[in-house]
Amino acid sequence: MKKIKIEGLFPLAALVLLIIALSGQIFMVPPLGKILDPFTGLFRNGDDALLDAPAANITVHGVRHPVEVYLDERKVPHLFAQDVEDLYFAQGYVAASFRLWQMDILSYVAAGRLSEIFREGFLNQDRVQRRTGLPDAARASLASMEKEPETMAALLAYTRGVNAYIASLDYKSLPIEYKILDYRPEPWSPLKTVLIMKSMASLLSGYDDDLTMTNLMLAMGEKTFNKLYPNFDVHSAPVVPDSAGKVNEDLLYIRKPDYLDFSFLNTGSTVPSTEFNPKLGSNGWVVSGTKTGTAHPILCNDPHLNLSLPAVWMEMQLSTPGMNVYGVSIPGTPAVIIGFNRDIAWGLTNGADDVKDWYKLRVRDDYKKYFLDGRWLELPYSVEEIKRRGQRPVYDTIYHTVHGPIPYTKSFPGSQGLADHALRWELAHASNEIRTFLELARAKDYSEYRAAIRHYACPIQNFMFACKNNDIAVDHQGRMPVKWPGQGKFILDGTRSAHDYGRYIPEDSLPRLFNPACGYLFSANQQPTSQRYPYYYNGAFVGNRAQRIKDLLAGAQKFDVGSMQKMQLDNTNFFALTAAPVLLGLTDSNRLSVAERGWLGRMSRWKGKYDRNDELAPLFEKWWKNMRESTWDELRQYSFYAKTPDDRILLGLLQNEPENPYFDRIGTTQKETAKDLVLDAFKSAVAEIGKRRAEGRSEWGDYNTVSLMHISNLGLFSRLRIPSSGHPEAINAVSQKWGPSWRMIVELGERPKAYGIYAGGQSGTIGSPHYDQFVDDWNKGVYYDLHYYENPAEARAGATASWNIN
Amino acid sequence: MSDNVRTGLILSALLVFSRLVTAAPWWSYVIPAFGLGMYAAFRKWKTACLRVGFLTGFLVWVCADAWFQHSLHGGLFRLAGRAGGMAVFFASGIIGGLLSGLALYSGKSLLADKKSTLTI
Repeated sequence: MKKIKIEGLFPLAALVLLIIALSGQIFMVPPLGKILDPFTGLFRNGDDALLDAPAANITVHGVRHPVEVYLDERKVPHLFAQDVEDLYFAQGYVAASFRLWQMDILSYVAAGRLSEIFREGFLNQDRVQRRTGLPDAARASLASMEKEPETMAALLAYTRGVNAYIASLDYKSLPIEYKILDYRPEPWSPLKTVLIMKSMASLLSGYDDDLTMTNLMLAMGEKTFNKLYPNFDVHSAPVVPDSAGKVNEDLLYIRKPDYLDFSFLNTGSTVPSTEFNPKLGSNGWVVSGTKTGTAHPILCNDPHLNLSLPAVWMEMQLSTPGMNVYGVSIPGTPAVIIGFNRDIAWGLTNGADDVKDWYKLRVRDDYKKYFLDGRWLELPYSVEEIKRRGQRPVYDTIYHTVHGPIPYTKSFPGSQGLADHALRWELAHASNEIRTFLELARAKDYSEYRAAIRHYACPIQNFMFACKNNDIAVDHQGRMPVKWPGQGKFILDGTRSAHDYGRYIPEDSLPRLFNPACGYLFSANQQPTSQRYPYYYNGAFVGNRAQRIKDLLAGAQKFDVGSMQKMQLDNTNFFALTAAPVLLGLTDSNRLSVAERGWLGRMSRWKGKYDRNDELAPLFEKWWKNMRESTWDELRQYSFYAKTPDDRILLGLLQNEPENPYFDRIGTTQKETAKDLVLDAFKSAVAEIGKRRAEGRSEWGDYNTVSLMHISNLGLFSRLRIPSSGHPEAINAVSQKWGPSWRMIVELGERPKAYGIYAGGQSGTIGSPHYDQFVDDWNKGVYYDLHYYENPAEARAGATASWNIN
Repeated sequence: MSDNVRTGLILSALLVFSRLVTAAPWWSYVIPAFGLGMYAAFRKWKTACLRVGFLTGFLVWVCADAWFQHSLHGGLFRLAGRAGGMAVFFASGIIGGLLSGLALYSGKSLLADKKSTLTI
């Protein structure tokens, strides 16, 4: 007879405890029992069964007619549907099949909900995200989209498609990230799509140097400020050149606003850190048939974004009767963002305008009232519930003023400089950018293109356009406020409603260029207009890439796809090309050693190329960095110093004012000139480069390594430190963690011929061959043929796999 | 056939079959393992439960890992490299072994009479 033994319960208890411990996250350790289970854990990930299956029949609820999906040799899906709702349903299903976790986590980031997934470390990020108003803006935008039937129909269809895919998942088939982070995907919603669009807009419109500029203006005075930090670069080629009309002096010289004095700015000077990267730019250009061998127009575009895995883009073709478009979409949103159809092609570059302004407030210590126009007003507030995983929710109070919300209250960590300031951000307003892309997909000519982009509000973008009838255009499109000179460049006075602005530059006065006589146009985040533009504006504009593009476009009579590819991969740094001769001219070779003279001789023959195997690019970089540091040593004395004058300013001083006091180093007895600094900077650079060469780093590729981080920042899921050609100031702007996220060249004609590549792979499945499939080719400068199929039969003939969604 | 071998073979089959029901929770295999432990006690098998359970669980888990990696084109090894992949295999095997061994042992301990032998 067997009996239950009491002591036999101890191993049983140990077993139960072990199961509990291995079933959930403990600190940062994922639920090991679940994820290391061979039958349902991470071992079941790593393949793309659906992508690799020759044929799949997918039965879902929600499509009226079967949708045919053909995957080509690079797993680009070509979708053929009978109507647009079925098409966007299928797009949602396909996007989720390829990239579910990516789109899901981006929606959490945008909504300020990361604390629901991660136990620690994201509460303040969530608070800032909500306080700056991005989730509110998404809700307001969605409310306005609900009044526009076409957008809403696409959004709802897309949502149903994503949810159909989510419903098909069990634990085994969940993307690996869900298993590691131990949560499940929640149902998709139109709000999540709008959140992703707003998040993308936020990435491109985060420029806010207002506090730094205010401090610099006050410390330097008007004249020096305008010299070192000019609002306008008259030597830069604008997007829309204009030689008519009178010069707008307000663009060229910024007067110190009357309200701006030290008593106004009596708060701390620490600027809260921002993730905005001013180098996130893009290139785009178009040549009409008058400049091409085939007499057809060619459009080129390479938007520069953070490089990540999975990549920000996903290629696809979307086709219904009356619409057939190919391009890249953002997973989580319907339509394609950059692409082409049978008649037109379009591309985007960031407008780089300042659309984010700060207002210094007078607020009572208890945050019950704030001061405006001589009166104390009630300070409205809302309370946000921030849910936290495994912990009680946090309730965060957000204060709202007439200017906008207050992102940083006094007690908010790291907010000294912008505490009790209100933020006015164009992004916060309701807008419907999705409509633009839905309409662009089926636009056939310039007028339909113009009608489509009218809906586009924020962030301001340069839309590049080409039509097969040889119309070409560029539009600086978005809501550009009418501002008084200097408004928004500096901190504004939040006690005056007069510092608000409510008017926008009329649509017909936005910078625009249509069919220029030269036969080409370009944009690369440079100033949108010439100095004759009648309205004041400011932004984070850069001119070197644009100038290089202009030189190349103006320097040749005829172009073809091959020459355009060479242009997109051009590693010449226009600034280095200009600055190197100036530095060489100021270098006294008699004061150099033999070895240093050898380097100087090689440098005199250098062409400013940042090729991966170039040995002189590291030397120039170091030389110029030394120059920058030794010249601007005075500025580094400022506690608030955060922004170096543009390199062109320093170059101008070297060329025109070699005796300028800024060349006199602080802390030395003798008075240095430009020549002294150039010589010392060179000697120091040669010594530094010598050391690096001894360590085995001799080529530019040893310095310019690019990393494609997984969105979770886990190195294991990333591609790290890939030696690369390029430079942020070269057309091929590859650098560290950002660069040309999508290279596209489209020649329109009887049938579009297109070429492209992005840094990544179609699949978001970690470990899949399609996860990072294009990275090495992208780094080598390879282009793929983009298969634009006219009908399902063509797509079927070129497919490696097909799905039937019914 | 020794009790150890017999128990190991039965346990292998139970582990595999229980986990083929992928809708069940990841730890579901401990239930048949526990039951087998009780059965071994009932039949007075002289099984070294902890050792046999651990070894069987470890082998079944590692073999299953290898099978899925092979059939799914080795994504893990592509990602983590050979050493990293082997480390994950090993960790997975340890968990499979530990729980199988403990479940078998618990089942047998719970029912064992004073005269039964528990060899560890």
